[in-house]
Amino acid sequence: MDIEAYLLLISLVPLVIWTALWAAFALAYPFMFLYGAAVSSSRKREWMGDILERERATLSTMGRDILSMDKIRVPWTATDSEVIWTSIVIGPSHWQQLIGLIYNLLGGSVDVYRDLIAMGRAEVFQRLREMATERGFDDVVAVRLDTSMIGTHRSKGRGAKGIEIFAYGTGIRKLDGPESFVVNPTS
Amino acid sequence: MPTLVEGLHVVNTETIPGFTVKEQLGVVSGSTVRAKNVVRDISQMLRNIVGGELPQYTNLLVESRNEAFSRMLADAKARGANGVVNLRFATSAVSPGAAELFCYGTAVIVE
Repeated sequence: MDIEAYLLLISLVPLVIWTALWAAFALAYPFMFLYGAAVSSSRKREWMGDILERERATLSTMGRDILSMDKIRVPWTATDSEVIWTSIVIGPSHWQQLIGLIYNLLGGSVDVYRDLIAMGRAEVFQRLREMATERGFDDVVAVRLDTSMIGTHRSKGRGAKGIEIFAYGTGIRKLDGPESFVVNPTS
Repeated sequence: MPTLVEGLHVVNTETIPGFTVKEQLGVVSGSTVRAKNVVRDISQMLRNIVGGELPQYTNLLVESRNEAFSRMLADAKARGANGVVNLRFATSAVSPGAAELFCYGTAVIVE
């Protein structure tokens, strides 16, 4: 063979690899889709059980829910404070996206998304609690939630779609003593 | 997620417990725009088919937020502040595949 034939062969290699990858993807996709559909409800139950278990563990060590949205009423026995944050990105499976799409046509409450987001929120709150207890905070005040969509603006609709749930708050350490709050301490 | 931040008291409440605000030095902010990279994108796309958490994206956003946060701290330090109160975060999708992470707060001197 002459050199031109070699060059032609070499130039074909990326194309062949690309095609092979897409073929593999096209073959695997139905199985992945079905797998996602099949495990979706059992996974949800597992996740929910996991969150509940961890919530119970934190509750039993702290005695109460340490998160609060109080912003002005800060315990005056507080000594040390620091902002903490945590987040999670969840992706609805293609099965769930399909169901969501069908609901979109029919209207009504899209329960698959509602459940997913509700559980994402529960998870992120639990992570915040765990982070706070790990760092030795007694309370987390002024907790805020932020939900945003990432990667949903793609014109071709390719790529992952994610829902980011983000929570932050101020962790505080308290001195021992009677629980007491000061209202608007600046004035 | 940085631990206690280089001598600055950063909270998202209006006051810092145990301290009094002596002086306020204006709003400080920090931001970053991050795009997903292709390798991550492919792996997360595959994971997306099955559903569940996308840990690579979680990490990506945590890193980006830390960057925005440290930029805000640099701003606060440059103004001679020793605290930031009323910290807020905001996220917006500015272009396909890229997100802006923004954080802002009031720089203060506390005692």
